[in-house]
Amino acid sequence: MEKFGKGQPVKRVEDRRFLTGAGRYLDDVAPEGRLVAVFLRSNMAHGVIRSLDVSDARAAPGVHLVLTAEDLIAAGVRMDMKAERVRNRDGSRGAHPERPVLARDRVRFVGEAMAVVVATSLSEARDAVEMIEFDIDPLPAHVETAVGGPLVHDEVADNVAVDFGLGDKAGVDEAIAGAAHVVRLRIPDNRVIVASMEARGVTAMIEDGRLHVAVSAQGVWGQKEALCRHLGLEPADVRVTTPDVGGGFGMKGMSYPEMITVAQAARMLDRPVHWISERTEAMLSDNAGRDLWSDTVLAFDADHRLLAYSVESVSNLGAYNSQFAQEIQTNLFSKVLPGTYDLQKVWLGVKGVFTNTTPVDAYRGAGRPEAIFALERAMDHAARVMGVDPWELRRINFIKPGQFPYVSATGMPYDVGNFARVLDRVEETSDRAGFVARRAASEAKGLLRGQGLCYYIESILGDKQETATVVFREDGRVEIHVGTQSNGQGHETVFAQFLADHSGIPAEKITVMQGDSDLIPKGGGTGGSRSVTVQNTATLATVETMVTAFAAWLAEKEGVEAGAIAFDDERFRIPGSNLSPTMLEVAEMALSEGRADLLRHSATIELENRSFPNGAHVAEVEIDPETGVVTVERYSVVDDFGNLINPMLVEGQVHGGVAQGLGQALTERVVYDAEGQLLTATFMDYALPRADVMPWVSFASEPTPSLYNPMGMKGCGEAGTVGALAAVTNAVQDALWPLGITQVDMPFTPQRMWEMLDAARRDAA
Amino acid sequence: MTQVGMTVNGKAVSGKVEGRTLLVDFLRGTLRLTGTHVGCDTSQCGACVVHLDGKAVKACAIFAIEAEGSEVTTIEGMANADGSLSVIQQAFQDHHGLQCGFCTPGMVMSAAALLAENPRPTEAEVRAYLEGNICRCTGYHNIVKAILAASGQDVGAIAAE
Repeated sequence: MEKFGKGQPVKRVEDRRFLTGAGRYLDDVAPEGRLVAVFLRSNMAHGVIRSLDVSDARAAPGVHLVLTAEDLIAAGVRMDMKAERVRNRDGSRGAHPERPVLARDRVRFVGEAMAVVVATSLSEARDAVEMIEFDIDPLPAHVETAVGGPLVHDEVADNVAVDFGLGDKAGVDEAIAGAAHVVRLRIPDNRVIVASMEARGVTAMIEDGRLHVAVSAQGVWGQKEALCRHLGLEPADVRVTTPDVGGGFGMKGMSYPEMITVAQAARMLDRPVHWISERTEAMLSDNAGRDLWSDTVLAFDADHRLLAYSVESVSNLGAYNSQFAQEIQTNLFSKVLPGTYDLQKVWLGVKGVFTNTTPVDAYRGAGRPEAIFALERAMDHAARVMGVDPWELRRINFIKPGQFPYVSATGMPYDVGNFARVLDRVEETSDRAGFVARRAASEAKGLLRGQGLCYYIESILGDKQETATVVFREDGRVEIHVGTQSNGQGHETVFAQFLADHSGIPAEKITVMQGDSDLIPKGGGTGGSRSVTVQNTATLATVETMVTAFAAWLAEKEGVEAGAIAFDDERFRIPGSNLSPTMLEVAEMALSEGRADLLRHSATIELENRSFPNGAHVAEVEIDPETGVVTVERYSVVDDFGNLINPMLVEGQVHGGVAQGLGQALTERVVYDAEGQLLTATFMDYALPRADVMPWVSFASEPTPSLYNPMGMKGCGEAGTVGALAAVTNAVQDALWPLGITQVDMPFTPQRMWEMLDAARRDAA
Repeated sequence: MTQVGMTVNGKAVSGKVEGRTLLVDFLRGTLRLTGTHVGCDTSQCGACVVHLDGKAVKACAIFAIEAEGSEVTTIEGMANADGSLSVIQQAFQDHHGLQCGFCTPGMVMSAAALLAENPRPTEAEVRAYLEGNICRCTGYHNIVKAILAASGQDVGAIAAE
């Protein structure tokens, strides 16, 4: 059997639970008798806390505890939230002003937690929060994604937390100076609110003297580390679990102040304390995504071959450094800066700025959608300016199949790829040839039509290391313990099926165990499209360990050489013996003979390298010039994800990824007013894409298997989002270019589109 | 506190509620039927859709006392009597119409209401009917496919167009 397994569209085992109302999301499994936490949040974007009086709230009916920053400090809680700091171009580290667990002295964004009330019931907690009296002296707010303005942190000059540079600036400048064609474009990449359907939540309780925190998150180990760090606890005294998680998308990958506060409250009360975010609260306090603008410069020779690419961007970090915020638009953006093009002169300069808005961190793709959006917008624009076919411009600049392995200008070791073949395929699946006729048909109805291409490449991220442990239980069931974490991707099915394919253990006997730091000592969680590649590579290694151990034992029992015993993915074959036991049968024998050492097998792997999924997205839009409504009429994706483990689930990941990209491009508009109030803080004001906004998404696989893992996989979780932004935007640009509109910026809401068209009509008149 | 009584998934139930208690909180909190979810608090997302006397309603948008004497069906009451998945539920599994599963109960309840009033909807009718149900994971592609399949239509041919 091939190492990548049977590649079957196996249906998901977790679906039964989700389809019958038996899902176990955090709020569904909160223990009886738990107390309920409600946070008081700042109603101002920037100001000095003059007073915070919780005495009435403490005396209110049903209230067990009220905590402010002062109380946490008095209890010995470490207040500063942790964050990664990138290296600035001068060699120093990015600024890291304190982000306190609860606001003290100053508030810096609307929604920042200031206090928590813990009461018997939700309504009592809410009523008590209303009784907290506080007084904030407003300060001017810095809301724009821009350098300068009122200082968010006094010690951070011009609000610049990060001044990052990567590449050969002098070389790039020189190439630009001598180029036949130089094309510049400023590219805004709008802020989005992540909005997992299940909001964040935490339940904390004391069990046998230990702290147990259940949290809706993307992995348990980082959360455990944060709890130990803030509460001064030993790892042995903390257990973190995750129940079913209703979507994460990067946003639930980070530690948040609420978890620390709720856990401390449970410790102080010795009772379970539960908090689940309301929707508006989530929109104010969940890390946001994107929010940057980039000045791009592309330089070409006379034959339109790329000579150099420069990006200077300003990215919004929000009011504080969230855990990975500084990394996103700098190091992670750089991973795919030059995309799929044969281009060795690049420069990336980034200023990360603080503003009086909610912190911004990873959102599906984390830096890579932003980088590909900038590059593919710039390439498309350059083609139009130079009068070259946008598809042809990509084609002539692709890294050619004979050039692999290819080290990109930012040091990424691309192992394989056949970009032209993928592009050829999408030309067919999108029926590019029929576009002219479709545009004529749209025009006959008084509508504009455009087609846009994006060729993306992705670099999967996250921990390269992962462990799989297989445990044979006495009742005949088999557990596989994984260090990844499903947020809805179908891991229970995929990991069990993969183990079944390689061990012969029937999938229905296998239970996937995840999200419990007591059961599983270490793991990388979900993120960066890593899960299936790293986890299955670990499973393969564990199967090998199992085969070796069982074969040695059988050899000893049968009196043959261990090397003579073969395992054919189903049975052990023993020379000269009629015995050909399955893995399960050997485990039963081991159990009956009391060989506990043979009932648990574990292996840890580290990927040689991460892989590079890539592909082409083609969007076709129709625009009604009377209303400004943009409709995506056709959407075609051809991906090179290498070998697919479960094609049905892969396709589902692409659909969802495209929807998140299309949402950012068409409907999702975050609006802060000049005082830093979020005006789009409910689903009535913030438009997530709905069923009638989405087209069918056609998907085809054009694999060139990766050489960096035994299954030849490439990872698919984020790719849909990476490709969608530029495909949709370039399609809108294609429709509007003939009207003399040469710059179009997301999101293309009807109002913004109508204003663009109206301005063009006035100019023409 | 007021006593409220209704039939939920065929069983007579009752409990004490405040005037302000929402139907969804009665279902989740008092009856411990936690399949009905709360996703937005403003009746936009549809994770809380249940059937009230045969009609799809958002359980976050009515008070428990308004359901007095009514027949309520929740996601827990949608499987066949023998415990197997109903046609709609099965179609969601067959066509991978769910990922994280949080919006799924509401999607299934809306789909059932749609097919009850329009047994063979077009793709456009399905998409329009789901305007009150938000999903962040699937891009709706496979949800629409599942509902068309549950109505007995050849989704392969429709989606390929």
